[in-house]
Parts: sequence; structure tokens; C-alpha cells
Amino acid sequence: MHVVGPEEGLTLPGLLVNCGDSHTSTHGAFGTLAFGIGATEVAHVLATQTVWQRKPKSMRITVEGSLGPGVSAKDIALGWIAKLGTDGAQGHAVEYAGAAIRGLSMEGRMTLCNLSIEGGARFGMIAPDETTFAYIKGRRFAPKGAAWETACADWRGLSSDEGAAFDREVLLDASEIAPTVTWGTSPEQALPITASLPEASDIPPAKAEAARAALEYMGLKAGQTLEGTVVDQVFIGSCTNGRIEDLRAAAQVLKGRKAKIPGLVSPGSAQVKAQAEAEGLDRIFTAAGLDWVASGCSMCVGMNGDLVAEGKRCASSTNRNFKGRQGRGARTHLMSPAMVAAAAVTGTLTDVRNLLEGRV
Amino acid sequence: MAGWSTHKGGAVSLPQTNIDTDQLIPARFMSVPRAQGYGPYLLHDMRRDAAGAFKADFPLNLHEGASVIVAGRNFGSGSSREAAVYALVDAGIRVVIAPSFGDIFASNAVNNGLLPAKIDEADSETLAQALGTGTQDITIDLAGRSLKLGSVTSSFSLDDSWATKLINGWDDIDLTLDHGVAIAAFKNTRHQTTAWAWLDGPD
Repeated sequence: MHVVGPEEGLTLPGLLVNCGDSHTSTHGAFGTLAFGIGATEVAHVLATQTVWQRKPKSMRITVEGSLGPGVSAKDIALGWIAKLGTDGAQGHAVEYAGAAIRGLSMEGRMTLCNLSIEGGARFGMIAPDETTFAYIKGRRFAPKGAAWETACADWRGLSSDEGAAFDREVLLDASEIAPTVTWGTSPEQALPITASLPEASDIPPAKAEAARAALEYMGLKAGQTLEGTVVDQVFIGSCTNGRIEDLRAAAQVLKGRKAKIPGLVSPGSAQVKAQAEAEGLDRIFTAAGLDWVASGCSMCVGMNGDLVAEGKRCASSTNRNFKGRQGRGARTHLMSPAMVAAAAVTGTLTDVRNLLEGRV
Repeated sequence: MAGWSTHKGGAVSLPQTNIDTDQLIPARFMSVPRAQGYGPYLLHDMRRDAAGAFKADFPLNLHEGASVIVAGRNFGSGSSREAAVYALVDAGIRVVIAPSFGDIFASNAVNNGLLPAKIDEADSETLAQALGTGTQDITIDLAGRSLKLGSVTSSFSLDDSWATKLINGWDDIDLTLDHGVAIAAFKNTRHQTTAWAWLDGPD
């Protein structure tokens, strides 16, 4: 749904999109008002074509500057969630703005908006611009002919007003964002790959017990470096990072290399799968020793039998490192697809920037 | 759905923060028909050992029949799965008291008659300390937005429209269909002003 809706041209700026899935915020990348709802609310939408919603507070996350090589939308998302907490944007609709956001592809914008809910925001949005229009144009269900011109004119009016006031403003510098990895059991427990795990004394008292429990569950020790942590398996896929650009980023790292550990690569849709195969990406993954499997949620949510075994450590391009998410006792580290590919190559948590020489 | 305005029942404390939806009910149980009841899967991996037996020291296992949970902040964060609410309701839980809730979880709770009672962090800690690993009766007054546990009293916050729904047991679909004429008029207007938004199928 979160991959297919946009690629079919069904997700358009200015629409209201609801789905019984919290990652519906993905569609906000198009300037769409999109949010996840429960099953009772889904029935309400189907019965009435409307949904009750309290007006959320507004929050703007502005990311200025430009991202360095090997740094992606996933790292922006994990970075702000680590800074503000998993309930940092609770009750808010988030608009992402600034030069670094404008510089993202639609795939990157979808990754960023997708992860809004991991910071507590039901909505994540980006004002539509020429990048948005170029992505939509010509897709199967996109407006055509005169309707296209009218639509674009309408969509250009969807940006926030100059000088608009937000209930909360957050400013980030893209040049300070490094490839980021989660170390715990909540997406807010994330650090740059170059960091060491926090000591008990570094953690605010309110979060200390959760951190201690997370380290115990994850089989990690306070103070150890993230880089070099031995990983058992990898997973690339999900509605967060299963799009063609994600697979290209992972393949760029894996090309001509062997994975030291097993793993799955699950494209986000049948269309992504076909495109990846046309580009030869599947052969890069299989030559590296990874399994190229069908599209779907797969190992992100441990629902269809693609499980991580108890106590095993998985480098994963997914969205939640909750206890048991990928299987009972599974240890999940969230990171970008390129970072997952780097972990596959070395068998450890690795700074992908060291594997990109001659490749970017 | 039956409405309610006061509830008295046994409370237990789960002091952890961020009890997310994957912990409330792991996804692997969500293909079970609701008619079978989701109660056995509530907090499955927290309250059961690897063989599926109840852990003796887990508060909910110690106090069968508890109907109120006092939890840490950000309860129900994560997924939109309404199954997280079904698991609580089917296990007999009527009220969850916490400093904050996942937004989607809170909406889902109200749609199933479960009260997400938001209280101050300090009051939450007082309740948790009063309970420890034990249980005590708690009384919750929806209209007054107040609760009482022994000598501890506290107020909680709840959106007015949500309180009205819980007290009356109202179903949103019935309420919305009362606005059918206005909805149809709006749809008609939008059809004129944003014709591009109406799907006439692919070429």
C-alpha cells in the first residue's frame, strides 16, 4: 500500500489518505494528508467516506544544508527521533522543510514521512514541488491532459504560508547527520555509527531503566562501540526502505562483494521487484549470497514466517526495533539500506562511508 | 457498545515506559479470529516464558481479574493495530492510566470502550508506588475525570468528545450518518472544484 499507492499515481497532493496502518504517514511525502487509523475507523471510512479527527498541533522540522555521502533520509529520521524521543511529536502533524528535504528524492521523502509515527507523529508532510510533480506525471492513475495542468496549479498552493506559525519548530543541520543505527528496543535509542553506547551516568534518570533493560535484551554493554558489533543476519525491505532507490543504494555497496552473513532482500512491491531485476540488482544480491525473495512486509513484522530467531542480531532497513517485533527475543538494529549492506559485507555494524570509495 | 460512567476494579502497575503495540500483542497472533478472544495474547512475550507458561512474578499474572493498568509514558505507541486494544479489552481491562499514549492507540481504545486516562507523570508515579507489585481497588469517574485509589486521588484528562462517546457507548458511524446531507453536499462541491481528485480509472 505505501509503495504501490504512490507508484500507481493514486497518492496525490491534497488528498486525504487513510489506511489501517500506522505507516500511512508515508504518503505525506506528496503533500497528502495521510494518517493511520484502527479497524473501527477503517469501517467508518468505508461506510461514510469521512473520518473524525481532532485537529493536531503543528510542528516543523527544518533540515538545512546537504547530506554527506552514505547519509540518507533514514538517518535524518533516526536522528530527529533520537533527539526528541518516540513521543517527541505526539499529538502533532509534522512538516519537513529546508534545503536538505528539498534535495531528497520522492523515495527519500517517503522514508522520512513513513518514520514520522516512530517519533509519535500521526502525520508527516512535505510541501509538493517540481520533484513531486515529476514523480507523479505519467503514472497509471495520475491526472492526464488538462486535468494535469489544473492539478499542478492546485498543488502549488499547498505549501505553508510564508511566516506561518507552528506550535513547535525544530532545526537540524544536515552536515552534522552521520549514518545512524539503533542500539536498543525503541527507535529513539539510536546513535551515529561512530558513537559508543551510553554509560548509565550519561542517561537521564527517567530513561535509565529503559536503557538498562534495552541493553540487556540486545545483549550489549554500556560503553562499547557500536561499530564492530557482530551481526547474525540482515534484512533489506519494508514500506520504509523497500523502494528502488533503497535497493540501488544497497547494491552499490554489495556489488562485487560477498556477504559474510545470510540475509533477505524483499522488494517493496512487484513493480519494484521487476525494475530491480531489469537493472540487474537481484543478481548483485544473490551473487553476494543474499536471498532475493517476494515483495511484502516479510521480516519487518515477523508475521508471515520470516522470523529472526531468539537472541539473533539482525541489521534491518525496517522501522521498529521493538522487543519481539521480528520474532520473540530477536535483536533488531535499524539503519539505512546502505548500512545494512555494509553490515552484510563485514558481518558487523559498520560505517558504510568506509565501503564507498570509488563507488559514489 | 455499552456506555459507562464509573468503574471500580482492581488496579495493577506496569511501570515500564513505551509499552508498544508489538508488546501488547505480537503480530504473529493477529490472524486469530476475534471471536476466539485476544485476551490470552495480551503482553504475550512479557508475561509468558518461552514455553508459553505465565511467569509467576508478572503483575498481571499475580492478580487475576484486574481491570485497570497503571503504566509508564507512551503506552500503546507504534502500530495502528486495533488488536492491541482487543487484547486488553478481551482480558477484562477497562482503563489504562498513563502519562501519555500513542495517538492511534488512544483513538482505537475509545472506539472499544477502553478509557485511556492521561495523568501527570508525578501522579502516575504516586499510583505506581502505592501499588508496587500488589493490587488495590481503584474508582474511576468519567464525568468528573477523577480517580481514587485508597487515599490517593488524581484527576485525568480526556477529550470531551471522547468522554461523551465512552459514557454513551456511541458508535461513530451512526453519528456521522446524521450528517449525510452535509457530507453529500461537500462531496458534490469538491467534485466541481477538484475534478482531478476523482478517479475515473486508468487510460
